Amino acid sequence: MNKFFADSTYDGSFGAVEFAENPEPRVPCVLIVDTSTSMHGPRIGELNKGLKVYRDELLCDALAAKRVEVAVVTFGGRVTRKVDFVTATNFQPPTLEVVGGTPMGAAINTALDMIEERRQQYRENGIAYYRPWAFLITDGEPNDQWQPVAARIRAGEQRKAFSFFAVGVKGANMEILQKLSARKPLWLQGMKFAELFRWLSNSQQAVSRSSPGDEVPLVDPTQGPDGWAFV
Amino acid sequence: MKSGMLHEVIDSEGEKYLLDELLGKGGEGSVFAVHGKPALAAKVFHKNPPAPETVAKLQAMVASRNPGLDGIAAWPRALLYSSHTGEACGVLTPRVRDARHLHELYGTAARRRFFPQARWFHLVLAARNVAAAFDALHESGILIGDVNQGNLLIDETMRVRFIDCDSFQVRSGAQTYYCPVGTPHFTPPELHGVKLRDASRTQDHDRFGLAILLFHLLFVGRHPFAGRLFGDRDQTIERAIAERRFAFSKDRTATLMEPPPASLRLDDLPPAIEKLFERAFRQPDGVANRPTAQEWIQQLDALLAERKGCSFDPTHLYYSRLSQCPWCRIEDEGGPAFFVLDGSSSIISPQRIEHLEAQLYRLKFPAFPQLSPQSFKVPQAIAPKRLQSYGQPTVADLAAVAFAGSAVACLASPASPLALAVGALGSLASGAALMLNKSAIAKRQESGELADGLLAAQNDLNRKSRAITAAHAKRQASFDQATAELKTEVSHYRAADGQLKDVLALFRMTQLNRFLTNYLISEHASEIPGMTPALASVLQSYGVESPLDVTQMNLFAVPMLHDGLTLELFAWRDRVSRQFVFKPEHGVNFSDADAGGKAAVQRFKVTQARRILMASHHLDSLAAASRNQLERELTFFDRSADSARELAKNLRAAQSARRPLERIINQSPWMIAASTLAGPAAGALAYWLFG
Repeated sequence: MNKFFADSTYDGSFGAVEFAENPEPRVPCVLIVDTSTSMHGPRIGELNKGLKVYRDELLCDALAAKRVEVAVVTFGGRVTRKVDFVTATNFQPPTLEVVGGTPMGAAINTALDMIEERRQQYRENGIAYYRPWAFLITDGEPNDQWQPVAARIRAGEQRKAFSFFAVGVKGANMEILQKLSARKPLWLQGMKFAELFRWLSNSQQAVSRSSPGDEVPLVDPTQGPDGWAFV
Repeated sequence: MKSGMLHEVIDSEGEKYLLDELLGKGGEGSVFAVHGKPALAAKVFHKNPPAPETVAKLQAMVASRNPGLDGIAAWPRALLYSSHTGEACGVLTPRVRDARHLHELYGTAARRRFFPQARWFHLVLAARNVAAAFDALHESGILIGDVNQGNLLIDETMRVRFIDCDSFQVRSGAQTYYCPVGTPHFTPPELHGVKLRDASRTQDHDRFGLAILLFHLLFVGRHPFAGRLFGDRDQTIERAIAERRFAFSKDRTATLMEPPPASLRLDDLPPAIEKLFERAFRQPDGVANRPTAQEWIQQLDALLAERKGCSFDPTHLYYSRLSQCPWCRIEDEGGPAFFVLDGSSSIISPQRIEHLEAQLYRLKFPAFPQLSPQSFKVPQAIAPKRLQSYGQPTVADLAAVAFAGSAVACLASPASPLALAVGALGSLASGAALMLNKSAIAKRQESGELADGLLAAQNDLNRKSRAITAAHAKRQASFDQATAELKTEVSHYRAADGQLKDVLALFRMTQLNRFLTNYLISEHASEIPGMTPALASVLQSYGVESPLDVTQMNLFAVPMLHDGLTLELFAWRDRVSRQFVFKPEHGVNFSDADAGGKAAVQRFKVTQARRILMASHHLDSLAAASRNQLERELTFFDRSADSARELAKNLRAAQSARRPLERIINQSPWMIAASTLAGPAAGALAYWLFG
């Protein structure tokens, strides 16, 4: 792959222009999405629609659109960096398709690596950033080694290097998600992907208006008409 | 707000207003258009009824309204009441139209869209007007409190107006209404951690926020406290503010920061403005002497009068006393073009092209640091020294000699079986002595441990050297690839004059290939009728993974592939290829190349040249980083080797102190056992053969 001359929104290694043109502080968020075969049918369809809702909601907010950066890692059969970090303005929601097994551990590792790389680029380019988000959505259980990843997540949360959220769709192994995540994993109500992504966008808009380092209280996603989760 | 309930509101005079569409939603209320009155807006509070203090503050603000304030702010006109309950529920304000948030002027992408004509001059003018608006409020005894990028609007003429004025700190008689909120990136260090609800703001606090806003404007969106921190640490903007780490400051030994790449520098501005920024951002505790809005107006007015246009690029304006255009400098370093000419075809002066050509001509490809196998010296065990004298013989030495004597006795067996018996006994006795004697055990163990330690250390070092070599090779591979790509891009640049279309075709091909390689059959099996995951993995094992691999040649090699599926695969490949959309990387597309001729070539060349220069900078830093990394790794290796060398030395010293015979026999229990048995066995054999 052409490493240096790829589209600047696609390749971060030449971010100087990107960051000079938009030096706003960033809210990086990597979505770690299960695309194994168990997600087939309406689930993946709703998830794809949810991604579009996410983009549209972010774009409604001029400041969030400049600050929130999205990346997508999928795991179905193999781990794919579907979308590398782009600001919401340049985010083209991919159409995800289902295939194969559930290498969740490897996917989380990839996502955390991406966060680390992005952080390095922020530092090199003098860009302030908020605590990165890693957002896992799955309806299964890992079929690879996930225990070392759990330790990595715990250490990262402790250092406040990122916030890790796990959302289980019906069928997910909550016991493992519980062990993976320092926070309590949430169940998705039915297929409320649109609500989930709207919540994600709203929370990130709130974060993008706070200051890097602040704890922003998130709206409880299990409550109210816009709720999408249960514990 | 529940609609229907508050559709109609009234002011204190009883005049009715109908609420129209929702314009925006904030922390305290929602803003609506007012039906039939395009110049007005109504803010309805979320909290119903609002706190008595909120109402009192708004009443005071409405009472203090004057034309001066109306000119620079959407100052509250009247309180609004619910027509049902008669309770206060909101506030009527002017609606500022045809204006955008300030960050949409200093943010480059938004500026291109909403203010395409704006140059740096406009940003300076906007800064001057922001300072003037602050000055007017301060003159009236009003403080902004929550200075941020969102509560100022700016229009095409660079006129600024404050919105959300109800958070201001205002006085009415003896009563002061505080500003309960703040935006941390604009908050001075002395207010960090202070409960803003009960904090009396001062003009000096506002002046900190003012300086931050002005900095954003003059430095096209940069925050003064966001830069590169020396050392490997993370830092938030708040902490930088608290520690006075002004990233653009001249005093880098104090701030330990440097400005981010591709940004304006502090000395690109007049010295007087430099000083104002240093004063605003590095004010020590206990002093309240940040520059006033008046001071800023004066200096910014002076700068407006001293601007100069760049001879290369008409969109570049800068401070006239500079010897070189700072925007050209940024672009030459590979930074972006912050200001663009309206419309797609820009005027690029021939000098600019010449200048870039000259830079490209001087372009050097950095050398990658070499790593030779000689860099890794793994210490080996050294032969023991032969000493002149060995001191008092120990039990072990005597036993070793006894071994030799017993062996001789054993071999005398053909002469007399008794000799064999004596020898065997002697051998056993000396073996037992060596096995059991304390000092013999100690000697054996000491040398044994040292030898084991050395072996382990050697293995470790070999592993390290392999790891370092592999990491280096990996870095070199990516460096080599980058260099090769850069060379290709230079050739594209050179080819652009004659064959722009060919170059574009090449770009298109690269993009298409990238698109296709990422479009995996296994992930899109459902798009191909008859494709199953099992078949997809069979195809994968024959190297057919993406549409790019779908060729007659490749498919022939795959067994069990029936014609129908082959046809479907081809059809799919064509469908996928049609989905691809070419993104012109330099804003130059095929139709430009057809129509534009020279202008398109120039535009292409300028952007291409910039990318090349930027990439070459990256290559330099890649080489330098690899050199540092290699040095670090080799130092690390040497340090590990030092301890192994120490071990080898100790082993040698320990071995040298032993008599050679004892050293050989007293190596290990196995060696002793072998020696014990060897003499008698040889004697027995000799006796059987010759006896």
